[in-house]
Amino acid sequence: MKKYLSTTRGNYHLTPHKQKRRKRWLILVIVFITVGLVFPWFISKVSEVVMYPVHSVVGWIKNSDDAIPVYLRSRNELLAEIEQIKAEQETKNGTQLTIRKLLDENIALRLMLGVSTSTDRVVAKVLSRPNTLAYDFLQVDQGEKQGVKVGAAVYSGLDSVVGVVVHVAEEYSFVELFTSPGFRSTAFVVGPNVFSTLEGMGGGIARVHLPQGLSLTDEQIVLLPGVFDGVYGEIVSVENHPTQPEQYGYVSPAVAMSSLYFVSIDKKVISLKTTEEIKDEVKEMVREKTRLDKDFVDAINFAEEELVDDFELATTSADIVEDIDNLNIEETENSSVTDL
Amino acid sequence: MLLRIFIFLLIASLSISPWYFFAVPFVIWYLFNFSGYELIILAILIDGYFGAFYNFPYLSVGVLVVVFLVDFIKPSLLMYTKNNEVVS
Repeated sequence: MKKYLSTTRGNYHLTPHKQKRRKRWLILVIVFITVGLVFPWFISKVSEVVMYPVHSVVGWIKNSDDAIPVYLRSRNELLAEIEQIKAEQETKNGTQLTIRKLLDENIALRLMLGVSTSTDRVVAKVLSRPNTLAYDFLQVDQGEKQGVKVGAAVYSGLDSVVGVVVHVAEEYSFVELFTSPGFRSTAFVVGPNVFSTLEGMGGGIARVHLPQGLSLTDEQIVLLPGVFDGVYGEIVSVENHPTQPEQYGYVSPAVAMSSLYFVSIDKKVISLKTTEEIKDEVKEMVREKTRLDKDFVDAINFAEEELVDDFELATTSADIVEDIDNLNIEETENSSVTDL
Repeated sequence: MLLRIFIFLLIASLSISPWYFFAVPFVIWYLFNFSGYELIILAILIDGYFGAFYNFPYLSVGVLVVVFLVDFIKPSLLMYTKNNEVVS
């Protein structure tokens, strides 16, 4: 049996001689490593000299144009080239995404820059939205230092007004949205051409109510005459029960709250205006939006006094209604109705 | 002896080339067939070549550990006959 085994005669037990040799190697290696750690330049110089032939051979294989190295290299070079192209492609894809993102941001900023220079506004970035705040507010990153004031209108884009500043800190501000529950403002509905009250319903929706008999349909524009160029949005749904005295139009802003990234804040606070001024402004807005003839727009009769039974003061915030009331009484005495 | 020198030089060349991972099977084979102490010296020289001693010579320490580990477990992996002959 033994002769069929592949055997080698030898003694592999750990003899004292082997132990001694192992110890010798260990000491030598530790000395080398210690010298290397203490004098790294020394080990590097020694390595440079000792490894020179190996380095030359590897260099020859890597760079020479001789037959053998070329043969060895060709396949590896092709593989490496494939890897490099793959990596470049991946980088290119990543770069494209970055470019697109920057481009979008650039366009948004340019739009805001145009807005902020053409009109006296401050561009602000939206820090928090109602869904991340305890209140139905927007938090923006511009505050008192940048000239933001309480009562200033806040726009998305050029003329789409989204709310009013209600609190200003040094570095940030809070904006109450027109859709916040309890918020009331005078609105003008283009189409039936009537004034109404815009009420915040929450959840990004506001409501206008009009008497029965008026043509209230989807996609009619709702303007906020108290604010310069104040387009709020358009009617997205109409609730009309013939048995009820009023019909409701639900209004949604042009830009969804979740899509708001930049807003512009007017540096001026919303001011009080007379009815005549409001009417003129509304006519101007209607003419701009509908591009109708000036005479035709001037001929439009506003029917708010006749049609809206419960005529209320036009306001832009529920909080300042009372203040305005007092002011209105005085104005009424002077045969003028105040409005925002 | 010639084979040992050839494999040693091959390991040295592969270790500083882009195909360094091909050196690993040769190193393992070398360790189990010969005493691999010279590989520690080679690892120290390679670390010196790459300037690793300016930080920490991971390769040298790693090879040192592996060499002594293999040296320690090698007798347990061999079979002996009654006549103290090893079956390879």
